[in-house]
Amino acid sequence: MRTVCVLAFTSLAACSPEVAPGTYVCGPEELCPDDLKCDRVTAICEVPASANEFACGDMHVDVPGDDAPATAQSLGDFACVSLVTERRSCLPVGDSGDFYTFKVADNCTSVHVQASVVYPIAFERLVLQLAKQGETPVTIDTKCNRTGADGDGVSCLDAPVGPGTYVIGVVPDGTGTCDNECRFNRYGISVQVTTQ
Amino acid sequence: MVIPPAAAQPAPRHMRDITIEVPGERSRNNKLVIGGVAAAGAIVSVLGVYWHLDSRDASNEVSADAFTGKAWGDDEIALVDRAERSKTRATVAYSIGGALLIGAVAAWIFTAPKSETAIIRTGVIVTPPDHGGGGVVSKMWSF
Repeated sequence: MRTVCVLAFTSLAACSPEVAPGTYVCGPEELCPDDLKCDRVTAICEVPASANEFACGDMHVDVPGDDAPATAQSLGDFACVSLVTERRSCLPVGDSGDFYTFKVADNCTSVHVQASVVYPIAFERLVLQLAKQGETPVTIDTKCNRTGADGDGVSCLDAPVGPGTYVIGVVPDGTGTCDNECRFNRYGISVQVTTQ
Repeated sequence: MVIPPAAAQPAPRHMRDITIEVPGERSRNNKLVIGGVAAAGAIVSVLGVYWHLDSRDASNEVSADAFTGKAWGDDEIALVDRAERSKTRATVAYSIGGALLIGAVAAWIFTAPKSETAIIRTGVIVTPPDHGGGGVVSKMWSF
């Protein structure tokens, strides 16, 4: 009888979820199981004692001076149908955005630029902006044809462009900031020009 | 021939007493009440098992001891809530169901009707014949 009781209580106790540290990626706004905390370096739920503060890391180095369209870093010249150009970077606290320029060849017609930015959903949400060089970039948030890994957010941009130089920006859209506690993020941007 | 009265009605000769236990019988109401309590206990316990299994399923779905590659989100929170809710329900159902079953058993024991003791008296009557020959021997029981 005693054994039966012990088994019954043991089986009941087993009905409480047990989530070990390091098993889940942080959800939106650093969401983690109750007793775990989001590690801001790996974006994985860990025990609070081993959760690190945010850092861009070696894979997502923030290039200084690309925070404005006028000082954007170049992605190069794109043919009418280009290869996908990728960059990884970071928006640490206080960084309002990163901007890149690219040039579309003069002889292209019916050209579109397709770009996407992939980032951890644990921190602030990022979107893409586009403008012809010298103009003010505007946010374009197109429906994405691709999905990121679980725990990654993807924002996309698909817009017609003509020959000339353009500026594309990665900026926070002001959401997913954990009440201003996680106004930072790492990202990977991919840009391609296609002819339709 | 005149039969003497004593010979006509001879006193039975007492042989021995047989003592038997007559078990008491439960009333229909008693059976219904105890049966109802036991049935309720069984039903509540079955509900407890259902919630227990539901809690276990939800718990297994969200529990992890190795990297899952999944993001912690609303679905996982809903599973945790479901596991905890069903666990609480199972615990309450087991408690109530168990109490009802134990109560039914206790009631069955404590309301058991008492058995009665009955004594069967046996005897033999020998009746002389009222004619030429023979006789009658009869056995009697009284209780």
